[in-house]
Amino acid sequence: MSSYIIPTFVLIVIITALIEKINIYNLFIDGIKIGLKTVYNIFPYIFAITIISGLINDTGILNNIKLFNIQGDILPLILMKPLSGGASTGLVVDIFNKYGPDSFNGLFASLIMASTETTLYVISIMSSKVKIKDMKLPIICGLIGDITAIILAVIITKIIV
Amino acid sequence: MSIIWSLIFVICIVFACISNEPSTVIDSITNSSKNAIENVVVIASMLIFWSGIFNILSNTSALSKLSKKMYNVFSFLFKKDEISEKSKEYISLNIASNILGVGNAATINSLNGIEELQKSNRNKERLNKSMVVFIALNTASMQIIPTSMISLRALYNSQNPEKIILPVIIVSFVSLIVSLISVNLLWRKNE
Repeated sequence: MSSYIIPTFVLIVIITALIEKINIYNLFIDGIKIGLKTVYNIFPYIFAITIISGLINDTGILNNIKLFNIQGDILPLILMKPLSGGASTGLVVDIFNKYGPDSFNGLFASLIMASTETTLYVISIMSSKVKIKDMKLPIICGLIGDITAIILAVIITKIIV
Repeated sequence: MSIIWSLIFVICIVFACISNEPSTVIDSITNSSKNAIENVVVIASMLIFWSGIFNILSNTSALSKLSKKMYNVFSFLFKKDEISEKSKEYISLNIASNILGVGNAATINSLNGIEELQKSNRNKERLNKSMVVFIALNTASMQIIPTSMISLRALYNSQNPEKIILPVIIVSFVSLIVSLISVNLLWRKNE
């Protein structure tokens, strides 16, 4: 059933655009340009994080650390996700390469990646927009939400894996 | 960030030298560089397609229709005297684009929204409650269909890439509620 969701979604978008007589092709091309720019912008972060996580893996430093019975690879993702979308995407790809997307680690990484935001990054750009420095309350509340998501994701992943 | 990055680098190199395997460092770096390029190609292939689709979506009337409905759902979170008509518009567009997953529109409207809220903020040095609520809405994930994550899973030959849809909705919904409740509790304590 769920495999119909994505095609249906794309179908609805295109049909809505057709009904509203919007120039679909040009908008798609413009969107691709925006996407290319995004890739260009996140590439340095992905590169930097891949080097670092490669070093951590190959030297075997984190091999002995376990958190909630999860192998060391998950910990960097949990720490990185609130800071940078590009870098955490790089870490997710690493995890998929190593364990596969349907393993416990792969599912957990997918859940964390899709159900939390880059909390600290979002707060920092909003803070600079309104020039208010005291962001204690939003940071605490945002991180409480993230921690809830992590705990819940562990439980759910254990059930569905 | 640069401290963390350099610290990890230094620790790893020192660790490799201590454990008598200094050659792992250069092997690791060359391998990782290759991996980074491959990873980016993979990420680009799903990101660029969805960027195109979402650009079409953000130009249909779906966004504005949804945004009108969304404000009614979320309006109880905001204080009436802290919110102007214009900020109402940006906030509802921001919520709608977050739910649909239109990242670019969400970012633009979040910045415009917080700026408008600041205009009607009495004490410019301090966040008012509506601003904290608005930030909390943006630090939680609200996307209903995690399209890019599903594509990424499919690219790595997942047996069931869509398996995450329901779990993602549950996790993001609960964490959003918890985050909003903590805003309310901590705000009262603050005052």
